[in-house]
Amino acid sequence: MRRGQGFLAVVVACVAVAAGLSAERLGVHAPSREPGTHASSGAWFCPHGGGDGWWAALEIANPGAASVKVRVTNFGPAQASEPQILELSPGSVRRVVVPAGDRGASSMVEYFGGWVGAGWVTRAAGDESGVAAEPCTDQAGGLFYMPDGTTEKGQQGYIVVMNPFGTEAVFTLMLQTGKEKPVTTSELTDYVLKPRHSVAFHINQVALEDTVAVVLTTTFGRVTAASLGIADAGGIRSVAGVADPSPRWILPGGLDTNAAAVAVMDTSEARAMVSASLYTDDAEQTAAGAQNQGIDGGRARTFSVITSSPSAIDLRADFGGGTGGVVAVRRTVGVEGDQGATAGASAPARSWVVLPAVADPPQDVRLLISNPGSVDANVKISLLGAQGVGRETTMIVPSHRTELVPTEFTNGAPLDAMYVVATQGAVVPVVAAYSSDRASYAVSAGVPVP
Amino acid sequence: MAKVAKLEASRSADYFLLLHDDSALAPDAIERLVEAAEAVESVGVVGAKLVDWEDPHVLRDIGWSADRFGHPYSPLEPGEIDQGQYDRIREVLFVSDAAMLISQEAVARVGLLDERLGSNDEELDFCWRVRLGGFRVLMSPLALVRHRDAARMGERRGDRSGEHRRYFEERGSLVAISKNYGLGSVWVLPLYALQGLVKLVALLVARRFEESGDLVAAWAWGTIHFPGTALRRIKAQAVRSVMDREIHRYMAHGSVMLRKWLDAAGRFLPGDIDLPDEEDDGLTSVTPLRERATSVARSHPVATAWVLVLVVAWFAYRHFFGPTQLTGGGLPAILPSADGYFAELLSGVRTTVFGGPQPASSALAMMGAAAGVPFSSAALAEKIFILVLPVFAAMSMYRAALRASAHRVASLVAAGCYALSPMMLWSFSTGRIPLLVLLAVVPKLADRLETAYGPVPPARRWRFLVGTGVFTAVGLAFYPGIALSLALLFIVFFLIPDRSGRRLGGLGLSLGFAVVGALLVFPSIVDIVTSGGSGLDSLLGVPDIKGLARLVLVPGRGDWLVGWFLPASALVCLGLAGSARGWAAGRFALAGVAGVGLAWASAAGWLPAGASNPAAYLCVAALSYCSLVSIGLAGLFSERHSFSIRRIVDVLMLATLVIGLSLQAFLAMWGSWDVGRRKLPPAWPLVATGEPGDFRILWIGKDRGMPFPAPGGDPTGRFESGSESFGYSVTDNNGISFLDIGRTDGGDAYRYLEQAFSELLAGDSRHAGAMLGPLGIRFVVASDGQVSENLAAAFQRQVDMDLVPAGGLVIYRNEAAIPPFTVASPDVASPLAGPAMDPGAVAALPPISVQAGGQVKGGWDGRQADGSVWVGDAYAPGWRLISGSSVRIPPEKALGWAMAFRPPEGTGSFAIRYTEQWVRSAEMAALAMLWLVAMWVTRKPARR
Repeated sequence: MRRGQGFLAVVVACVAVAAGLSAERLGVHAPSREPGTHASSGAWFCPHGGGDGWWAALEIANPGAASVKVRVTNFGPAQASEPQILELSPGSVRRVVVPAGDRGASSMVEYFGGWVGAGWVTRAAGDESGVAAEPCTDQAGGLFYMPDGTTEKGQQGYIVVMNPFGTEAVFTLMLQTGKEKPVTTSELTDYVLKPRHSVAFHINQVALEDTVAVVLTTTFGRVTAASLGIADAGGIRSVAGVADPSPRWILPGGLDTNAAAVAVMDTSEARAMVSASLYTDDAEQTAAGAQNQGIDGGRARTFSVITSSPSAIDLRADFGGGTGGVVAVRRTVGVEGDQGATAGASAPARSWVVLPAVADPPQDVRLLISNPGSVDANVKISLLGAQGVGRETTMIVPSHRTELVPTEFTNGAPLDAMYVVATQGAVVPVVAAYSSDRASYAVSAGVPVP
Repeated sequence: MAKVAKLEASRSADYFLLLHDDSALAPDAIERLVEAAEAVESVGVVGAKLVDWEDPHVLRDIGWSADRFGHPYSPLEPGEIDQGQYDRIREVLFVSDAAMLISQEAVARVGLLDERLGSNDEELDFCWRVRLGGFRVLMSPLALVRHRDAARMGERRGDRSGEHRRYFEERGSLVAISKNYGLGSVWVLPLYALQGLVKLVALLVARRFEESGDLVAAWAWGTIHFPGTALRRIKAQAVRSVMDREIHRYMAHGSVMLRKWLDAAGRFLPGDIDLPDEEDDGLTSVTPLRERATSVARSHPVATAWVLVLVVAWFAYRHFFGPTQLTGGGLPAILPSADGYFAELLSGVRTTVFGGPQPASSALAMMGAAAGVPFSSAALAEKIFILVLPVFAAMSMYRAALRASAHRVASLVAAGCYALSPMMLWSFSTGRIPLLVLLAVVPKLADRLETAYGPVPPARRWRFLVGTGVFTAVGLAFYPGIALSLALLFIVFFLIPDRSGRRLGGLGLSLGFAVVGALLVFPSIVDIVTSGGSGLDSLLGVPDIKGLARLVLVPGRGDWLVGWFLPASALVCLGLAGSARGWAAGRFALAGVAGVGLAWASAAGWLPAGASNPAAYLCVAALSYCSLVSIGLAGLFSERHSFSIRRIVDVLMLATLVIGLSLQAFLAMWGSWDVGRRKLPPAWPLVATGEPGDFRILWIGKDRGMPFPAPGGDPTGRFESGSESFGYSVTDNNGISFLDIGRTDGGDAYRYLEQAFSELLAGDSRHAGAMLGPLGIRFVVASDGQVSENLAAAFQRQVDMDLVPAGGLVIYRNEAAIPPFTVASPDVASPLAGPAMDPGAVAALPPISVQAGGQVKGGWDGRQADGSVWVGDAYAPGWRLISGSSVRIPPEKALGWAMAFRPPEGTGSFAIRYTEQWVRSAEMAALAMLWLVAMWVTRKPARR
């Protein structure tokens, strides 16, 4: 080996190794482009259901400073409707009446260039009566929990499933009655729902229990689902399915009979110990009937809780150090027998839109704001009307309290949405509404603003 | 001879002697010929032993054989010395008519020589007929004749038959097989036609135009004279008294012909490189067996190498035999016939993906030509390309290494290393024809650079410039990124020329052939230049420095650790290089390190677009490694050493090379390849045939530098958003197309796509499908595991994109896709026709129900309803909406990339046509002229 060449080889080897080590340390060039953010758009799925002669409307509110284009499409067992296009000016709310002649009716709200909140209001007709209101959900996927499926005597339970997407969906509904084994039937197994269609399932045909939680799982495609409850004696309620179980749920409510049935399903495999606190307007107390109650993994139970008005049930599940989640719903009854239900929220937030929950004015509309946090919340509330932002008010909601917004604030504006912003702390708002004859009662949680 | 045969004296003669006027008989030659004829029964013809006129020790003719197609074969080596090795009377198929004794009996039975033929091509037919008549054809070595062969030497005034040897050879073969084969051997004729076509293509490819002209002329002669040949056939067959199998005994055996072909290949390989004497190359062995084996290998290194190549290729290529079309890997979709390639080449607009006025690559002409006459099938042509290119690459590496090391064995080892390098194996495995072309052409260019920068300038400068320019153009046509390889080679050769090299002269020559190469593909070069060099870059290549150092571009075939044998050997060889090759070794060491470094920098995204191409740089590294191996081995073989540290290093390095090459060869022989029969993912039919009509596919993948699953090809761009980045490409619904070979993918449509995808990644939109819709993207496809959780969640949120369950692929179906080649005139076309590139505005449009326009050859036909007309094809100002004789409307740019037309109300039926086709036609005409000139300048002289 010639000395010069050998030396050169050693130098080349050293340079190569050093360069290689430097290259590994340097790594790849990081992406430099910022994500695009100006093409904001979204969708709300509203499996509101319906019935013979029923009336339904979507309430859409734009709390932002720019107008937003909105497209509404309705689904049912037949062909989807032609989309209805509208534009919401800043700070406005719009009611869009949608078809509700079929139990499986549903609607989709798509929005472009900003953000809107959307919810539905349904009014039963014929042999059925009552009003239900619920925020639409932006969740679409393969797994939904619907704990409010009671089919006890006098209660009819329905699950409304909508597939607003371009491919068919195949799903199975499993009913958890609190007994040993979940229940299903061949009709509820591997059901094929065509693209851009929706359907309702009457679960009384499968199980008659006071506690019926329904789990929807898809094997193909995506859907959105909600439970629709109809009382034989009058009264309807609906709750959108929950895709994200949580160990904590805040369930505000009020203006009811000071009693609530809290249906809880443990979606995990571990046993959950459930306890609840009650936040009223003057105290924090334990919720009688929902203390240290055990729920086996995958099972559901219903607890009767004595409440007051206004109040929020802060329900927490403990999995013995493990992780898991539950879904819960607060079912209440209005003073004249109509029903209401809300899934509340899994966490407080600073900014909410609370959509109208009334079918026909005049109405008695009350906004309840619960503060589950440990600091007092300063809250600013604005009315969003058809013409834009209306009157505003501010209030302080103390920690672990639930407050009613003074009736003067909502008087005369039953169809307005409310924009709730906590400048300090975080809250969970719901709206409760009675018809003037108190025969109709509905409760609907707010929609957190992203 | 016919006249002579009619003479009275001839009737009583027992024998005729045919003697050329440039032949001189030995005094006893006739006696010996007659003796031979008399000594054996039924002799029809006796030939003499012909020796050289000037040097009687050199044999010229000792009788001939022929293959089944009538091509003559002589056992003589060129310049073979007469040592008595053929001194026995032998039966042969035919003998030269320079001195030929013919019996009267044979003439009476089979007739005279075919008067249509001449002294250059009449012997085979005549002797064959003599044999058919039941006579023997002998060669008597005792009859000595000196032969001048004046015609071949060009010494006959006005006789140019020596320059057209192939014509006479082919004409003689054609006549002989047409007349003399029996009906049982009729199968030879189609095979003859097939091998003739292959030979013609080979001659054309080798730029031996005179010889290919001779071939065609011989066939033309055969066609014109077919009636006469048929009549003569009847006569020849009328006297038949032996079967064809009797004749076959005197024809050349297949193994003999194989040796002949190998020898021809061996002659072809070294080319015109003058090698120093290799008598003492230091190869010594310790056992007699090894010594003998080494001796054979040393005596016939090229033939030995060919045998090894055939063995490895036989096993490695076994998956490719048979009529099945190859699929999988990086294979593009091919057109069923040759016409499509030429149509695309001549088309004024691109007919694939997003269209636009981009020219096609000249590579289409080569594919079209290959898919046309010789193979009559694009699939077969594609298969041949894949099979042949690695061999070409090895041959080209051999020549480059031979130039660098001047040692045959060392160069053959280097060629083996190159052919079995991980990059080559992966490129072959995945059927990446452009990469195989890159690997074949780069050593050729390095070889030419050695000449350019060498101490002596090339003798025929223009031929050198144009010839090298042709290779450059072929490389550019298939793989424009080769320009980066060339640039790197330019730099290292300029920095470190040979010690006595000419730096400025070399620079001038190299720039010269680069310019010639660019001229030969000028439409593509113009496109690359105007697009800011985007056609040169490539995103294929994983930024793994250890992998790249052992020439692993992408994990796959050949990426195992054994691949380290090559860089390790190259490094040791750098140390072993002798002083004479020290500069070359230094040059290749620099090129190797720079090649790997630049490949990594490209793959890691540190180089600017237009200069970022891992494959182009890694190919230079592969060339450099192998050149270093050849230089080091040449040094090792040329010097004798006593036992020392150096000896130990030598042995270790040789062991590394042998083991590494053996294992790589084993891998090549026993492995399976990514391309083959039914190698497409099982879920692919869901995409390819799951939807009616035309659409496009967006391929994505999160792993940097990785190709897409077949037939997605390679990434052509990157979506970068926040901390995430994805490679992407867009194809038509049948995947990547051969029509896009050598083309750039870029422009406003891709900018729009990147913007739309950025919105998807940002997560603020749930209508990515609508945003991608105008691009005609019906499916987004990725390999399993190539969609990040964040992106999967983003897709899950989309209202208009649905996950399609599929094995092996992740497929999202876009419900809002608009057919790409559609003319639509609903209300929604007007918003689409806006000039702003705003995917958000598109998302807000209502679902677009388009009226599919009729795509016809050269454009679209439609009928206007109201509003504007939208065409989802890249904007090109040459398009016109034509209706009747008065309406000719130019397009407006829509969404920043597509086209919209606003015809007046009541337009009714219309056609959309490209009106600037003449520009492309003129370009192609000019290009054809340039190629013809280049071919003529670089033609090879006919062999004598």
